[in-house]
Amino acid sequence: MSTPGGEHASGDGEHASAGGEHAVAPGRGRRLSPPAVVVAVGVAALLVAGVVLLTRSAPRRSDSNGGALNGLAVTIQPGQQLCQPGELVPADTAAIRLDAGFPGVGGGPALGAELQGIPGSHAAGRLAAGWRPGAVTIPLAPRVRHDAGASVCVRNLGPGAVSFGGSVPAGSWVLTIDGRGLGGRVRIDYMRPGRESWLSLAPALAHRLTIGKSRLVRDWAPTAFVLLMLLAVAGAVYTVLASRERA
Amino acid sequence: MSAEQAAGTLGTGSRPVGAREGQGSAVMSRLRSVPRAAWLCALVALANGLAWSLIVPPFEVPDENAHYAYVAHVAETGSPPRPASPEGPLPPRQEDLMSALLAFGMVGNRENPAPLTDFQQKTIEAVEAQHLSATGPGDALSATNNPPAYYYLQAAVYKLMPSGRVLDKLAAMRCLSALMGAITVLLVFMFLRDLLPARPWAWTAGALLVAFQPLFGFISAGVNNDNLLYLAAAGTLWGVARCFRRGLTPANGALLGGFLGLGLVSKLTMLGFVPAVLLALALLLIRDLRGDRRAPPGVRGAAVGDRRGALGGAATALSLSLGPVVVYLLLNHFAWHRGFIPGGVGGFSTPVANPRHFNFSEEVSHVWQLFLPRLWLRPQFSSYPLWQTWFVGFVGRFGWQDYTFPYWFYDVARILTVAVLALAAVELVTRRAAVRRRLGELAVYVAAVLGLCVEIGIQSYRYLVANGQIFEQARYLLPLLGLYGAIGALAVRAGGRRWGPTLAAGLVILAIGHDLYAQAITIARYYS
Repeated sequence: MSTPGGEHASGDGEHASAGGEHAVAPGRGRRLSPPAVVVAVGVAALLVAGVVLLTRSAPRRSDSNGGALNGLAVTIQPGQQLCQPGELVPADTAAIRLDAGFPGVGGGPALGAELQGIPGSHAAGRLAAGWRPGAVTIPLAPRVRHDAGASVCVRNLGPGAVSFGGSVPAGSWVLTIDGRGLGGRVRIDYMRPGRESWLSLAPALAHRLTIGKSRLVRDWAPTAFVLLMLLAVAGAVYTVLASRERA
Repeated sequence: MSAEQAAGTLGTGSRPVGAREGQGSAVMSRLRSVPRAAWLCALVALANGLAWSLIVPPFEVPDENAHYAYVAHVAETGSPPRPASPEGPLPPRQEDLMSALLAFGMVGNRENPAPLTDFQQKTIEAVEAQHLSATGPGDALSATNNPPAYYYLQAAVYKLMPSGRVLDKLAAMRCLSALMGAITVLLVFMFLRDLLPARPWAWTAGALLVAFQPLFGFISAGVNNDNLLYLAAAGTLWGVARCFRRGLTPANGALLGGFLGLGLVSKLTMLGFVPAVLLALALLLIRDLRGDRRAPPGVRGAAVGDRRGALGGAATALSLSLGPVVVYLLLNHFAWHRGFIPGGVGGFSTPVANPRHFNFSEEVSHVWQLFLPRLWLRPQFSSYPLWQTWFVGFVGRFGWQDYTFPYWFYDVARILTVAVLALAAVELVTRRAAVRRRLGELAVYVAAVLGLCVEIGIQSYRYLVANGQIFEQARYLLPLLGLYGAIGALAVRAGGRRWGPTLAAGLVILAIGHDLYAQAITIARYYS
């Protein structure tokens, strides 16, 4: 590595004029320099963008069953009930979301859903007929308070057949249609109540960031992430301002 | 005050290396001569890499499962894994943990989040508490044939972690990867300092652009031998620039050859840099053997034109780049029984099920179309790789290639990229006299780009013939991070002394925003 203290910069035919270039620590001048103004405006813009992003509301998941989505794989006729045992229904679940479609045109049939096998709770709900193909959300009440194992059952209340997104077959997973077994799995997203902004979801996100981490970082992972990024941004701003050239 | 002295007030604290000083203090002195701005840029990269490592779930950096398995094999058995057919399985300790982490369901399926519930956490802890076997009968999947330098370094971390838990070891290994990312940024700074002297803020801007490049941050967060490759590639580029600027001395030759050798025993992708380094050595030898002591503008140091020194420098560079490779080949064959080069270089086989057969003209066309417009050639790809693979991938495609920014973001990035390239071009045109004087050096950097692209293209075509699949990812171009930083540095220099620092500040803020947005979509991808 070099010993710049003993060298004179020159290159490309350019010679830095003696005394012409200085690295100046930020904040010494009375007036903000143009780079400092750019940094201030840029950081402010990033903050505004962050606030806009963080306050945007949408339905949020409490989890997913992680099933593969290989098209509309499981069909049930009016009156039939599909049950998927062995589901881990997470706390704060107030709805299930499925990928659904139906033959023909118009709207989808009415659907009923219930969570079976949760001690002391019988969450159930209904979605009226007339929904459009795609992701459909069936509300559940009461909300699931704790992580619980359950069978998730969906009944076709008619009129017309309905198909759900998932995978058939799906390893060792077996679901039932009116009690008869079928090797396959419907993909299910578990939804939190209502619509939430990222900001209101932040405590849940912070907790989720601790799951599946090493014990060395688990408890402080969210805090450390924020602090490290603050350090990175502050360090970059300081460096870029401090290494600027005084014209 | 000179430009470099100016950088020094950010702080070099440098002092000449005295002959009577011991070697240790000389090293310390040289380390102290690194501008403080370079250390700060590295610190920024370290913080960013560590932050990324906290939000990317275990085994969600591409091939992290395979690289971890390689490290575990080295640490547990003392030698690299041997190719097995069929490949895998992974050791039970890792395999069962990955299953508990839902890793297999997450890979390639952007709708599947990381484990989110306390129940899943208990399952993970239960698997970790079982203390299953850390070794298995299989290989390390796609990492098996890699050279071992990165894995031996990581194996030291693996061994130093007293815990037998995979997650603890992985977290510590990710820290070392982030550290390698930080050193890469430091080396990019040093490269820019020798490449584009006289504008310290341009070096800072270029290095910070690299530090906040989200794909680089993402890869730095994981266990992947690419991290040592990037470091070695940045060091090699610095070695080239330093030799051109300060002469091919034995010390500078050692720098160049050492980094090239390190890269070659980290990942064979580094072979793409070999033609560029050979060209550099040839040009430097011609320059210095002519004994021309009239150092052209931009070239400095008494070493320029020193014939004996140049020969010594070239010999040192060659021996330090070839030496590790020879040792690696011999160890492979005689000690590890993996053949001289596991998997071969450029070899291919056509399985019965694959209708494609090797065809040289098709290979040339494939390599061309992988990076450039198709022109009149027969289509080799269903998409447009220059945009889909390289640009979109470089701007940001994360995970196992399973999540991206919204589409509008790439359009904005395209406009900004064109603007930055235009500014860099303006600077080159403005300094055309200097560019003409340094055409040889410029040719070396072009050769590095071409060499890497051709190397990736050949691998791509032969993999396609052998497996019927395309595997290219934008991270394969990250050995060129130094040149990416150079484009940024050139662009801000186009603003001159008056507006250059302002341009630099603006570009760095944009890079920060880019990185933060990438982290936001990463958190949304895995945790919501």
